[in-house]
Order: sequence, then C-alpha cells, then structure tokens
Amino acid sequence: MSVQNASAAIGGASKSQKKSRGALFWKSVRKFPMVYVGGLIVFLLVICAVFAPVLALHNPITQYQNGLHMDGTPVGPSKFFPFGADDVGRDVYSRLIYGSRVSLIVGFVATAISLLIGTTLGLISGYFGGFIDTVIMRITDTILAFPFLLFALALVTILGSSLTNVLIAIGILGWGVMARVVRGQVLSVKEFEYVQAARALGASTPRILFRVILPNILGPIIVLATLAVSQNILVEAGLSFLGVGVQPPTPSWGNMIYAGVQDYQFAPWLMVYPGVALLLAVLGFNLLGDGLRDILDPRNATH
Amino acid sequence: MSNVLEVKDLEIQFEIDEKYYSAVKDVSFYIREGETLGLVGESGCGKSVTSLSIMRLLQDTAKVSGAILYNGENLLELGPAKMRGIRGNEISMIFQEPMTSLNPVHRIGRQIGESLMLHKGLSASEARLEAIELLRKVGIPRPDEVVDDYPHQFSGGMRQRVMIAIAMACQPKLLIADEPTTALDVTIQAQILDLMRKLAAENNMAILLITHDLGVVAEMCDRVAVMYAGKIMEQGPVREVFRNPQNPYTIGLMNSIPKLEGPRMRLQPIEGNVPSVRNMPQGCRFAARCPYVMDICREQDPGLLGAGPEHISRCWLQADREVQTQ
Repeated sequence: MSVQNASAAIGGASKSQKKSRGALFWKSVRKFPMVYVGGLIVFLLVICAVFAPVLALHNPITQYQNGLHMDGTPVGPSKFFPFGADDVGRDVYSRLIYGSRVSLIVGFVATAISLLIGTTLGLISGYFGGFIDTVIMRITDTILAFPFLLFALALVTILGSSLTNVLIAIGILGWGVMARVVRGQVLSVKEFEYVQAARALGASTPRILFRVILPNILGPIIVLATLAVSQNILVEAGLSFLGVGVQPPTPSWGNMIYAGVQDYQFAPWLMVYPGVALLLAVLGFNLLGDGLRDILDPRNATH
Repeated sequence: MSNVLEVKDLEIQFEIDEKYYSAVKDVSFYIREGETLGLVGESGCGKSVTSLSIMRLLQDTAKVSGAILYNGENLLELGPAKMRGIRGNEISMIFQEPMTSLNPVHRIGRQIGESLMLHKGLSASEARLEAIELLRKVGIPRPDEVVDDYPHQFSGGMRQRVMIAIAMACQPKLLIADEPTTALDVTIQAQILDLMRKLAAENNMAILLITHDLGVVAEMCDRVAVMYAGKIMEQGPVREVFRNPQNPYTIGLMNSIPKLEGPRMRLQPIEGNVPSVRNMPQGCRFAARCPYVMDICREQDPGLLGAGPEHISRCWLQADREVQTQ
C-alpha cells in the first residue's frame, strides 16, 4: 500500500514537471463528473448515427404489413419491433436510429455555419472597434431581436423544405450570441501585452486575429458551440414537427413526434421514444457544454 | 560609426475631447551602431510612447510628426507591409511584463521561431532547431526539452530570457527594451542586464533602454537622455551626466535616490507633480517644480543648450555658460 503510494507520488512528480495543458484539462475533468455523462451520451449518439445501418434492425422506410393490426392501428413494442411500429407499419426503433443522423448533422453543420459567421464577425468587431464595431453589433442586435424559430420557419418556407435549407436557415440565424461573446472576449484579450508583442514581431492583422487572439478565446467558443448544438437539434425537431423540416419518409425525431401526436392515445410509443431520444441528446450536449464551461473557468483552474 | 536610429523633432499628439494635445514634443536623439542609449524619466513622461512610435505601434488616433530615421529611412513614411518587415527583423522590442508578454496558448519554441518563419522563411522544423539554439544562448537550461513547454511553466526571470530570445531571433540591429527589468527581482535584474549586454556586444546590436531606474542606466548605457513631461531635458554621455548633471530636473532625480556612500542624509524628493498634457505650461515644463526657477522660465522654453561634449541641457541656467558641444 505504502509502496504503491510512494511510487504513485514519484510518478506524479515527474509527470507534473512536464504537464501539458491537455494533462491539466484532464485533471480538472475529474472534478466535474457530469461531463462524463454528457460526453457518454454524445458519444453514443455519434455511434448511433455513424453505425445506423448496423444498429438498425429493419429498413427505416419499409412499411411492414405485420406492423399494423387488422384494424390498421400500429402494433406495440414486440420482439420484431422493439419500440413498436408507426402508423404505416415502419419500425420505430430503426427510424429512431436513422433519425439521429439528421439531428447530429443539423446540430454540427448548422452550428459550424453560425460559428464561422459569428466568430469572424466577433473577431473583427472586437479587434477594430469604432465604427466597424458599431455596425456589426447593431446587425447582431437585429438578428437577436427576431424570434429564432419563427424566422427559421419563414425562411425554410421560402427556400423550400429540405435538410440543406434547414441547415442554412439555422446556420445564418444562429450566430448572434456567438458574435457577441467572441467580441467581448476579444476586447479583453487584445489588451494583453502578447498581442502588442506579436505586432512588434511583425505579425500582420489577420495573423494576430487568427493565430494570436483566436486560440486564446477558444475555451468560451467551444462551450458556446456545444450548447448551440443542443439548441439547434431542438430547433430542427421543432421545424420538422411543424412540417417544414426534414420531409417524410426520411426519419427525423421531429417528424416522428409529429406523426405520433395524432395516435398518442392508443399508440403512445410513437411519441415517447423519439421524445426521450431528443431529451437525452439535448441533455447530453448541455451537460457536456456546462461541464466544459466549469472546467475552462479560470476560477476552477487546477495547477 | 553611423547612426542606426535618428529621431528628429518627434511630436506625438493624442486626441482628448476633440482637441489634440502633445504628449511628446521636440524629442530628438540618435543611437549609434552597437551603442546603448538610456531613456529615463518618471512615469507618464512619454518614454514608452516614444518607443512605441518608433515601432509604429501607437493606435491610429495618435498623430506622430517629425522624422524617425532607421539607417536613413524614415519609418514614419513606410507602408504597413514594409513596416512589418522591419518589426521583429531589424528592430525588436522587449516589454516590461514578462508574465503577460508571452502567448499562453503556444509552446515557447513556436513563439521564438515565429519571427524566423515570418521574416527569414525558415520551415517549422528549422525554426525549432534555431529556437533551441537561441534558448541556449539566453542561458536557459535543458533547451532541447523546454522548447516544447508552455509559458506558464516558466518563472518571471526565465520568461524574460525567453522574451530576449524572441527579440534576438532575427539578429536585429536595434533592440528597444521598455523597462525590461522593472518587474523582476534584483538578483534576476542583474542577470538579465548582463545577458542583454553580452548579446548586444556579440551582435553589434544597439539598445534603446527605457527605464526609470538610474542604477540600470549607470550600469548599461553609453549615453542617456532624461525626459520630463514629453521633452528631453538633458542628454549626454552617462559618465558626464551622472558626474556633472546640468539640468535641475536631472539633479532632482539623482537626489531622490538613496546613496550608499557619504554621510546619511534625508532624501530630497522633487516637490509637486508632472503637469497634465491638457494644461502644459507655456515656458519650461519643469518651471513649477524647479528650485532655481526664474521669471523667464515661466515665459519661454530655453531649448537645448550645449553643456559639454555631446552634452546638452534644456535650462535657462545653461544660457550663461553655454559651450560648444562638438
């Protein structure tokens, strides 16, 4: 026991001399176990989406005759349909698995689009200040003043309902908060002497923006992006629920819930399973984002 | 020996409430190749602003006029791309705060190699090797290991050594050191000054040393310029200025530092405060605090008058005893 402790202490000491930022990060992760839960959910979700053809039991758009009772109502959970069948006899479980693809694509791609717009505008706004800052921030205020879901709904209606258009709509409407947060971070980071020092070394303005300032504000950006993923998954579900998102027969959790609403009295599994999946996905990303925020908060820093 | 840097009639104005006020005025000095010039003065006298204006690092709202000649080329007239080619390559800078002057998210090897990649076109791996060599030169132990460390793993003195390594990377002809030792404790100060002197001698590099510490000036500099409220009050060879200070302000500065030798005496602080930029006196800027003040001092600035070989002083007392400086 004591020998073990001693060797652990020696190992710890020699390691701490060469502790990288990554090691520090993993050390502080231990203080926030909920990150593991969030990370695990997100990980499982990604597995579902990537290996959907392997994990699914049936083709998600095949309408099985044995999925419907004689009176045309869907059959409940059984060996053949673990989560039951839907109103046209498709396997809810397989649709759920494939539906994770839509949610993740929207979550990641739409977030990436708004991240790109928001970060760039925030960097420019915060760094240059003055008139440029005023213009960009007023545009941001305008974007933030729109009710997100309604505006996305209108935009998708105009562009036409498809996954691509949902991505575009969510992406180009969702950057407001990011631009603001990034701007605020830039305002504080640009006053550090190392920014001046980089300029004194002959670095150009784009270089200072993207190689000096951006790496220093990556923490809050990552947190914000993680939380934005869960929000965007919800918005996509909302759009699909309202019928303008991903079109049937392609499965998406939103349109599955919508289809289940009509039959909820005699076939509750139609609504419950995609609802729970949505809940878990959002919970997973939120736990991950919150946890990352706690870990990256300098007040909780481990040295 | 030719002049590496020559600053002529430098004036720097800042806008306050839609009016321009001069923070620095009539500043002229030169630095020869391999020479160290000290720029001394109390906080807010315009030392740092002067150094930043040489690098053209002041914000756009500052109006800079006069001429800053680097090897005969006026830096104030250079385009942004040409100026970038000079920064870090021909003229380097070390800042006061070693704790915040290094970027916390990059490994120090990369930060040292950065200017080499930028200016000398070295590849990442070549720059890393060069960075190890530079770390060795500035006296950091185990350079091949620490090259991959992050700034937070270094102490203040070690970080200032890293800063020096960064500044020296491209073997600049001029190093501007803005209070390089102010944030360090005394034993480390001496080491850093030694290191700077050694490297300057090896590379025939000139140094513009900005400080408020007369001890540092005495130790490091060949010549010294004393600034007060945005103007140079006295300038000359260090020995000459320290043994035979001419300007009442310089004398005041010397009297306000404790002496180890001689009888124990009370320190004599300079009474009063530096005038505000918005309300500069018309005559000599030191008049309000000067023990030898005369009527003419309040009305007219005396200009710089000769006090000895290469020694000039901005004081009316000098008018009667003016000598040729050359």
